[in-house]
Amino acid sequence: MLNNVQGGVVIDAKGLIRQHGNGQSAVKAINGIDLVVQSGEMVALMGPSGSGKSTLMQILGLLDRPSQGSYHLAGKDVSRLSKGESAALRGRRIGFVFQGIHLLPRLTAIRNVELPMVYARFSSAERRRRAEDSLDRVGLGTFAGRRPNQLSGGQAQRIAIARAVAPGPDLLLADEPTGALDRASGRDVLALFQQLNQELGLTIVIVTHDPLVGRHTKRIVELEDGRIIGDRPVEDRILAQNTSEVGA
Amino acid sequence: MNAFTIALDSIWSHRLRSALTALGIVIGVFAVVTLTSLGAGVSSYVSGQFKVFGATLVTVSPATPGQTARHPHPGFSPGGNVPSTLTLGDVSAISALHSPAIARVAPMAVIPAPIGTSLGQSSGLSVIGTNAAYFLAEQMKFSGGRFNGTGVVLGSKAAVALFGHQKHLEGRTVYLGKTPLVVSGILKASTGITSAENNMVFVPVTTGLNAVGLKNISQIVVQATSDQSVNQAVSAVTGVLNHRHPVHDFSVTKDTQFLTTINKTLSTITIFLSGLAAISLLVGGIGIMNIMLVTVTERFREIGIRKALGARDGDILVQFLAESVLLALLGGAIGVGLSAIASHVIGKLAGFPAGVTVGSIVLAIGFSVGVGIVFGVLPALRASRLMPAEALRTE
Ligand SMILES: Nc1ncnc2c1ncn2[C@@H]1O[C@H](COP(=O)(O)OP(=O)(O)OP(=O)(O)O)[C@@H](O)[C@H]1O
Ligand SMILES: [Mg+2]
Repeated sequence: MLNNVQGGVVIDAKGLIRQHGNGQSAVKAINGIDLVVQSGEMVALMGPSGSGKSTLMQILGLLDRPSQGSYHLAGKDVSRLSKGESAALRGRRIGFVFQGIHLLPRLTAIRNVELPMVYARFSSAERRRRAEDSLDRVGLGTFAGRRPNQLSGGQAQRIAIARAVAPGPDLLLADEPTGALDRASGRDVLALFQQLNQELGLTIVIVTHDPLVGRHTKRIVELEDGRIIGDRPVEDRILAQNTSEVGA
Repeated sequence: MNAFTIALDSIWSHRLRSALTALGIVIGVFAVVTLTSLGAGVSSYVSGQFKVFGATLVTVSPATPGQTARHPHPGFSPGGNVPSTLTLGDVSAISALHSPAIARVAPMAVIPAPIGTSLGQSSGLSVIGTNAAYFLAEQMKFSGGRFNGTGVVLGSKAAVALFGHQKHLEGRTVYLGKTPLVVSGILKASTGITSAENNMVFVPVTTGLNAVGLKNISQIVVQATSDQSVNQAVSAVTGVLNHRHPVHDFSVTKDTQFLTTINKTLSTITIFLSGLAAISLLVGGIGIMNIMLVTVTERFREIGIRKALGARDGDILVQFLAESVLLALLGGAIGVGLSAIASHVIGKLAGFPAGVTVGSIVLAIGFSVGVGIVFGVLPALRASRLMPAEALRTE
């Protein structure tokens, strides 16, 4: 897996533009984004509402296509893939964690975790093994048989994280994973991301409004009006905090 | 975790809605299968009845001259609108052939005269003038007495209508118009296509004709000696009658022809009714499409999640198609089940064997799957083509 290769470039995006509509009513949700993320990095993406964070994440996660610009994922040009090819990549190479609790309500926790591997055509034994490992990793090995409505919000989000990492992706994308959680469980989830980043060397991009995210990440990228207006390492934690509060 | 378990789960989680959706298919399949199996039941029953006679009977009926060729099944209207020119002389002439192919010859004359007892007339009974050979050819069974050539034979219901019961009526008097006649036999009750006999009163043919002053008889019934000699009997009869009726105002029909006509008519009716029933299947299919379209809109989020997790368009297509096919199959299975019960009950009540045939089950299952696919494709395509970003945005 590429996430074990130290020093490789996982995300290499140049001049990404995503335009909705045409002519006068055209809206550029993101407007010229250049972003490079190295393997093993954990990056926080911040910015005011409507600044284009989700749009950027969806493009990075191959859920959406840029109107312009190029995107190389782990060295492969993915900005002009067919629907089927991007679906396959999505399933194996990218883990996605959403803001809401995006578990399928009719499936047990472990079935939810297995789902991306079903679509990636893993063998059922492999699926089960990885799902169990993954649930153990997020500390919910004993919750395998529970359904989403029998889980707390924080637990459900951990299951969703287990689901995202189970296939062994190169890249983990999380769009406001703590948005639906209270402060304490939100912090726990952030800590979990940090742990995954450190233990597995997993490359992570995470959108958050939490001003204390700097405790967990080493790099904060700031967006406004569809452009990157700040990209700094979090050596200077105070500065990062201040900027995010000014931006909000 | 394959498409069908997902589909089953989804159907099960919306039990009431699924049941109501499947109801259209249940009704459609029920109607189609019941009608076809009843049709098959009636037709096999009719054939069975004809087998009893060994299909050896040949009927001579009056016909419009020249039209005979284009009017092959006059058996439907014995003594109907075509005036008869057949006479007892024709019967004798056929008998006089002594053809080895012919076992019996019997006249049959509908006598348009009232029948009654000393107490008054009975309505709803028909009077038939004939001879002893007729009872043998038509295989009638007596519960008492016999046809002795001078007396009267009563059908079972006719006996009840005239005397209130069927026992020991031999020697009692009935009146044909004003002519008194002595009862000499009572027939056993008959079921099936010959049950009209029950309401008949049989009198010696000459007595009957004299009572109403008629010369012509309605039909001549000829029984061939065996199944194999039927055609020979037909040509023998036709030969004699061509001589006696140069204008060819008669037609000769084999009972098997009659059977073919009945079966043809029955299958036409069955196909027609099944066609009507199939329309309800169509309506059921549209119901499925409707619900599936609603389901797709309701499940944008689920579709978005699945796609974000790597589901291809094909995976989603198969999932939704499986759901509509399963729903239709479910309806079809219930429809076939209900139809099996209904055909059994109707068959029992009507007195003929009608079971659901393998053919009709295959037809119904095929139909259901077809309906599920045809009406499931549009919603499934719509679901599969959803862009994951769009699907996830609808919260
Ligand atoms: N399908 C669309 N059609 C038109 N405009 C859109 C569409 N999707 C997004 N936008 C616009 O693009 C801009 C960026 O949206 P996006 O969801 O990326 O913002 P965000 O930074 O994630 O905001 P938030 O923090 O509220 O989630 C917004 O102005 C939004 O209205
Ligand atoms: Mg957003």
